[in-house]
Amino acid sequence: MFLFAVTVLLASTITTADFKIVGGGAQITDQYLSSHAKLDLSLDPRSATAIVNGIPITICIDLELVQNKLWPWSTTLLEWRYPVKLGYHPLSRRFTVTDQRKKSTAVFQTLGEALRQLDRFSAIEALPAGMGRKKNLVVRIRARIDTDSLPAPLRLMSALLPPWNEQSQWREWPVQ
Amino acid sequence: MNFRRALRPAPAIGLSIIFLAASLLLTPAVENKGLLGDFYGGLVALNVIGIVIMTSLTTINVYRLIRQFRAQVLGARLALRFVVIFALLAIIPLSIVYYFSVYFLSRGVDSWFDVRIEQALDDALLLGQTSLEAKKTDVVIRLHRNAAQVSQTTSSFGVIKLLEELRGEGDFSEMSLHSLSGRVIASSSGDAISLTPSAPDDTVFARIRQRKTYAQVEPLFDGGLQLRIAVPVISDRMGDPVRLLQGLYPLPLRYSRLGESVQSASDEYNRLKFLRQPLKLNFVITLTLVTLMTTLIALWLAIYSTRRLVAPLRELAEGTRAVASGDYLKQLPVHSTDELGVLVSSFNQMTNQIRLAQEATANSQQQTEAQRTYLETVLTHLSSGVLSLAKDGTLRTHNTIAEKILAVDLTAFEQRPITTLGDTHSQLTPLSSAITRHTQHNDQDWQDQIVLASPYGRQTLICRGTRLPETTDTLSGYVIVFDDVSALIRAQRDAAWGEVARRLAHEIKNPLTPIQLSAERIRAKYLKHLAGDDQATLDRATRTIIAQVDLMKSLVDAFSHYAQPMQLKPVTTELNRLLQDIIELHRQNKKINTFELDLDDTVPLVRIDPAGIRQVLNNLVINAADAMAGIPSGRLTLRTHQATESKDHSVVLEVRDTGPGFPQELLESIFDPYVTTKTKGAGLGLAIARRIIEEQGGSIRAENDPAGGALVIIQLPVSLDTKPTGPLEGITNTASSH
Repeated sequence: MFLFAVTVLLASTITTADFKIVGGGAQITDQYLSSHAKLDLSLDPRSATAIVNGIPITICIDLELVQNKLWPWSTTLLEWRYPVKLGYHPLSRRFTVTDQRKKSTAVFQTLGEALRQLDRFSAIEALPAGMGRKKNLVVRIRARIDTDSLPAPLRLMSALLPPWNEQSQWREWPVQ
Repeated sequence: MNFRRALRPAPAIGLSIIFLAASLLLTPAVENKGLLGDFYGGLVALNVIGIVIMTSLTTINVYRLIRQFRAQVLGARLALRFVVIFALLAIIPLSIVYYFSVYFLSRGVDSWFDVRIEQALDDALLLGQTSLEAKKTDVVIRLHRNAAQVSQTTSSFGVIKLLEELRGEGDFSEMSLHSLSGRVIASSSGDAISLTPSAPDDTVFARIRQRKTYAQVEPLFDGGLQLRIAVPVISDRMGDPVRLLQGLYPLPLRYSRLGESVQSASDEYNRLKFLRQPLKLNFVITLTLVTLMTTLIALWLAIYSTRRLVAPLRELAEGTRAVASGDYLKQLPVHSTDELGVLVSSFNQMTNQIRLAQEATANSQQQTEAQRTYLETVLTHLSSGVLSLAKDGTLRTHNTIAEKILAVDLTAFEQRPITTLGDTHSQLTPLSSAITRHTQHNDQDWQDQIVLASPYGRQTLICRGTRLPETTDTLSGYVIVFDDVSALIRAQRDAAWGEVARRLAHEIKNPLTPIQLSAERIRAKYLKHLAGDDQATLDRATRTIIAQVDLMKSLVDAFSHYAQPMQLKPVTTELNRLLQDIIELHRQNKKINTFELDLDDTVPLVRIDPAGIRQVLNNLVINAADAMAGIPSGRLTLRTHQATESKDHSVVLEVRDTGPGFPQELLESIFDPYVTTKTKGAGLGLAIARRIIEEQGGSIRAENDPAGGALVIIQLPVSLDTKPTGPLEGITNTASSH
């Protein structure tokens, strides 16, 4: 009953899934790539219901350092993945956001708060020597649901149905 | 060749094995076992591709089979029947298994969930939450007391020391004092490496600003639970700001484990419940894919097996059809050593033997045909007519000479009794009667002289019959050989008459002259010396002698003329015009009241000697005139027309009078010498006429007209020329009456 109530609440607070990269930027300083982005993440009620029912959803933010060339396609020089697991803790009745890289868990009363926690993305990554001197470097970012982390029964559906394969468009900025 | 044939299906079979393996791997993949679980989507995709390929292959094969069936290709019907049977044998059990599998799978998954278990898990979770609430309340009360103590402390050092003491006493892992602006005033932590305290978030500050307490259970990253409690620190001193005292209290391990256990069970149950439909869908998809793949592979294998099975049968059917159409060279390839291979080998042996037998038969037929052709050639060139009769008297074969002699188309009488020949052609009755008589008596060898009254006159046949030895029914029977000896007899008779004439001329004519001279001398010497009756007697006697001698001389001359060979010169002549000329000469004959010419303008030219024909017609006209003497309405009719009853091309000339006709007893011999109905005459006119006609290749016969009067029918040969080549004038009348 409680879960049903939570699900109804979620359905009322969360609209259709939509991942957007609103804005961002990147710069290289002393062989370090500093990137930041403003995200707008919302989940489909079915995904929210799955979280409440003990199925964590991992939102993965893909970051790529790309060099644009004269020809139409570009070359990906480096890429990073930032998985963040959205879960629900029934005992405390709180939503959790677990950052696998930082090995930290944040607790939120609502899923909306948890998602808002992910709105601001920033990362600093060390670059190989000489990478910063390359011309026409571009950083591009995408947010997506990591379907590989879904349970097996949902994996086939994730390949076919929209709520489970949500992902944003790539947004890119030239590296300053 | 066989190796290649055996390898031909290898790619398809390999593909089938790959797809079958892919479908079988779906089962462990759907259970999320190891790597296979990660490749579940790929396996599904591979299966879908496999199903599409196998469906295409099966559809193409079935379409080909149906097309062959509609085109009535040999073996297509059998192949289609086998495929349908195999398909039914594969699909029906698979469908039943599929149905029950889906049904029990659905029921099985549903049976995992029970309302009581769900309620129990919810209750357990609620119990855990309540227990945690109780613990939380206890810690909150303690932290409120601690906050009161902190509010009494003014110095920073004192606050730090107090927090250190309170943290130790209250089993907090961390205790910190914050201003409402977020600044850390003091803190104490059990973690030596932690430099800064865990900062409360905005929610916590919001609660404190409202002078409310914040208390929340938080899961830790590395497991375990902690209580985050924050209370406002309100000083009694005027002007002191409200501060926030936060304590992190790690729940005892016992609490954490129990709580996590309850939560884990509840989570697992809820997860399964949520995944129930996707799980069922996954199972159904997997089962469907496996069933479909298995069915399609079974179908394809059925079609392939059927083709392999039917191929030798189709070849056999084609072979038998080829043999039926006469192709005995047909040999079928032997693909296997099984029963079908033995059957094909036997077929090849059979066609070989049939071919050899056929060749032998063809050789035999060729020889028989050559012999038959030779025999036919011999029979055709025989001057004798040959008939072969079956044992029952049925006419089997004949030669062309037989038809010519009998003037009948004998082909129409083949396979009919020989008696029908006499029934339809009365003139042949003596022949058919003689043959029938001898065959009925089963005479071994016989010979008869048979006289036929043919349209061309009396015809004498020498007929010989032989009974064939009875070897078989088809070979037994009779052979009749006959010769037309009419011409021979006639020639013999003519020769005899010629000899008579010659002897008469020699034996009679020679003494006549002395007799005549002696009579004339007697008359000249003694007539003047006698008187009275004696003179009259002598005169009468000598006159008689002289007259009779003259008569005898003319008689002998006539015979002499008859005996001499004819000097005829046949030319192409227009018969109608010749007849008109001849009749004009006789117009003044008072014995004939009416001349009637019924001449067919379309008759072709004839090849005759005009003088000879003129002589014949003169004789006939004179005979007719004599016959009609004293008959006031005597009429002579000449009619021409083209012969229709004979195969020979000839023109028929009929001379008909209205006299008393020929005496019946003389009809057969009317053309013989010395046969006459006149009191005067030698009886040679018609005999000469016959000689003239026959010498020119024609025929003449006499009969009585049923309407009264005599009728003489002459047939003259048609000329091959299209224009007359001979003159019609200047022919002297050499007719002699009979």
